[in-house]
Amino acid sequence: MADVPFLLMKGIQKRFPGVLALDSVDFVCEQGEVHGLIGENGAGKSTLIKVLGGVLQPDAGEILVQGAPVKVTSPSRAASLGISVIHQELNLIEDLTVAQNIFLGHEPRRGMGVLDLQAMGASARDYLRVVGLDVDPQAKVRALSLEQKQLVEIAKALSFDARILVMDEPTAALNAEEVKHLLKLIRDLADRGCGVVFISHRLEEVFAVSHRITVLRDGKVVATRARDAIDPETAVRMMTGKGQVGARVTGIAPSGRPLLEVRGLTLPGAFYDVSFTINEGEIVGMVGLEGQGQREIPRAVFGDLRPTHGEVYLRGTRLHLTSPRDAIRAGIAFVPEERKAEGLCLSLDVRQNIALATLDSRQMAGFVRLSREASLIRSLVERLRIQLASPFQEVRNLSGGNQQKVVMAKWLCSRPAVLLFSEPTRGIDVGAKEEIYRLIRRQADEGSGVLIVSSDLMEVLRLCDRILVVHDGRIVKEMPAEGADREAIMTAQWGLEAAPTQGSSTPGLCHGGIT
Amino acid sequence: MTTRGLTTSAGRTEGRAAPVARFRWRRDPSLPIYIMTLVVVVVASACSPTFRRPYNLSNVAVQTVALGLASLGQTFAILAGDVDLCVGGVISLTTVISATLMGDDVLTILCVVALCLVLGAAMGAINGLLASRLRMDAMVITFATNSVLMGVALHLMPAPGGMVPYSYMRLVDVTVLQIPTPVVLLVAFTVLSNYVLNRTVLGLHIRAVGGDRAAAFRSGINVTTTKIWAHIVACMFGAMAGLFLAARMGSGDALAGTPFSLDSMTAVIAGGTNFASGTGDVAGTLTAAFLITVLGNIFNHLGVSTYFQYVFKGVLLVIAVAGGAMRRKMQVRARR
Repeated sequence: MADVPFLLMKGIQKRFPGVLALDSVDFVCEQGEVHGLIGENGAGKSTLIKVLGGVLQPDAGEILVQGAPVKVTSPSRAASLGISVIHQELNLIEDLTVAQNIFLGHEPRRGMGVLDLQAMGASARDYLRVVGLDVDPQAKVRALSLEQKQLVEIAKALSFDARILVMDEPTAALNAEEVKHLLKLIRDLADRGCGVVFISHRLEEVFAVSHRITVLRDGKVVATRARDAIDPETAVRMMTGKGQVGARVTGIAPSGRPLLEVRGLTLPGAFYDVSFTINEGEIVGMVGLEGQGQREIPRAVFGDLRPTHGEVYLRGTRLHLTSPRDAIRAGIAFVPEERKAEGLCLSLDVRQNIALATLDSRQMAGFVRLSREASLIRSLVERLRIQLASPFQEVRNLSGGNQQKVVMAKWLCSRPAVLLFSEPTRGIDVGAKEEIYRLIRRQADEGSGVLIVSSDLMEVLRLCDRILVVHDGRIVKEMPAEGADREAIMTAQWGLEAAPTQGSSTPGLCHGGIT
Repeated sequence: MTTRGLTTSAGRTEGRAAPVARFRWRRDPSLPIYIMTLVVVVVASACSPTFRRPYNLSNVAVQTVALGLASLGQTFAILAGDVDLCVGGVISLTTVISATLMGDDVLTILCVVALCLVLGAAMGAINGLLASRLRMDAMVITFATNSVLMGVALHLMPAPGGMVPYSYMRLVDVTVLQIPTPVVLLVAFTVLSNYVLNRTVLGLHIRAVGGDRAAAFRSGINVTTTKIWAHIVACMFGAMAGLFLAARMGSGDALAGTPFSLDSMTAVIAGGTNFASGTGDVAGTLTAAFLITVLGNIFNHLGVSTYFQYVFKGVLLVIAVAGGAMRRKMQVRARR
């Protein structure tokens, strides 16, 4: 038993168009151990988990359970091998009861397809006791809190007789008390002989609960170490990429005149007391690990989310933003990350899409003045170098880069004072990326203020003037982008540096410590 | 009602910390329809002496049977997250086939009944298979198959006519303890459906697929098979409704089923079953089917134009659904 690991992933390789997501990754998990898996955004954690859970098939490499090679072709195959994955978005059916959810897909029966309700209730209670959840098995899942749902999901995994339990960011939405309870449960499960793969963006949790830690970077395993043989600072150093930052995209230096001022913006559950300033002609980058609240901040400034506290000033005038319509009128534009879902109407043509945001200025008594529109759009298409057969082409048929340019064109023709971007170049090829960087820089040179939320650190380092680091809903660090220390950014991203308002800087224990 | 008893015993309170299990009846999504039915029956009995005559009440009960059966089937389809607009076509075709093929001996009658049920099951299987394999909306698929069946029925019998044997017609009038057999059968099927939906693996899977298809799939449930079964049940109930109608009318009518596709949907939704949530039960459905039938009957007795029943059907649907939505909203607020 000791020489044959329970789960062994050997030389796992997975290629997506244009990127090698996993590059001969070796990963081991024993029964009775908690194995922390950490890495930057896009390091390959989720891909590895998907391969293990049967959601994705590896291009090369093999998976061995107790020394025997297996093919994990589907989630249910994974479950039958004793591998259960608890994804971030829970897999429960709200209107069924707790017991029904736990046994869904493998119900105790009395023959002829009749449910054994007694057995279901009784063993549901057993599993709930194991996870320490005190609810009626007949209660509907809808009535439970998020933490309770998470525990039901774990109970469900246990009912499949899971011997390897993979938890992807299980603590992301829990408060400190709930996290403590969950981490204790994870340790208990390991003591009962279950192997747990634990993924979290909070390093202190990983260090508190894991026996071993594996660090991934750019699809490769940097190291697998016993918890005592690694400290948070080393881990951060390991996660930080060493690749060269490309040439900076520079333009006219920002004026230093404040354009957009955000003060004390708070949206409980997303971000707290966020204050920052964007000057005229300045590009500010906002970085953070997934789910730290950075995506919600531009949405709130745009009026798409309603913060409970805080003020937004544009050129010194306070804005009262209740809807995106107000923000657009005030001169704020927002290019969201899901351009297909939110930024574009795919079945309309290029001309109509561009015109949507600015119809007001070109209509007369409800009629669109087409001639004026045509000339405006022609000039924009030229300026942004959008490659089109005709302005009447459906947006659906354009490449990602050109679609993004259409979204930008849509906003540029309203001449915004402030441009907010979320992942401006996600899913766009390298050449188009460069053009979009230049366009954003040119917009800044013309006096606009730009905020970019990006998970691509390189992008922020090359394009922005200033960087704000968001951790746990707060801006924890601010620094000029030029010559910025990437390790310092990473350290702040992982919350290893106390926020300026908190006095002490005990590494790894921002949340009050978990033991 | 008998079926209520089953549901409550299935959801009996056990253990502590169960805010949901207590006062279950107050959270029953079918509550508005029970209240409305009670009010309508009481008011109608007070206003119309002819309405409250026992003969009329038994008559209304028998009238409910066709819609009741079709709605029971529709409940399965809607709980599975689909809708079956094909029941009307199945009903029409069944009456036509019965009136054309039935001879006056037990064997042919049994054969035709079996044929109709098999035909219904086959239609349901086709609907379910197309809907889940082609990943098309079941509403579109069943709308199309409904049209096909209606066309076939009209081709076979362009004008209402044909004859079912007298012995078959008599079946409707047989009573058990003074209660007409069809009514007894309807109640029996309601109890059976309730059992299937609450106590069997199929019932649980139907609710799971209807509640969250993706989550059900990831739990290892065969979504395709489950949906096919739900559609088979829906169309077989349609065939039964058609067989009953043929006996009651004594003839076939290619348009007899037309109102049933939408009326059964009305009954299911007014009865408290929710689209895309997997919640609801057949007791509510049956009550709503009864209420719809009662409304038609009352208008006859009060001498109001029968066309008003369409208006009232619409109002009924809105009230029942709005009532449910409002209660849900209040529950959400109460939980905060």
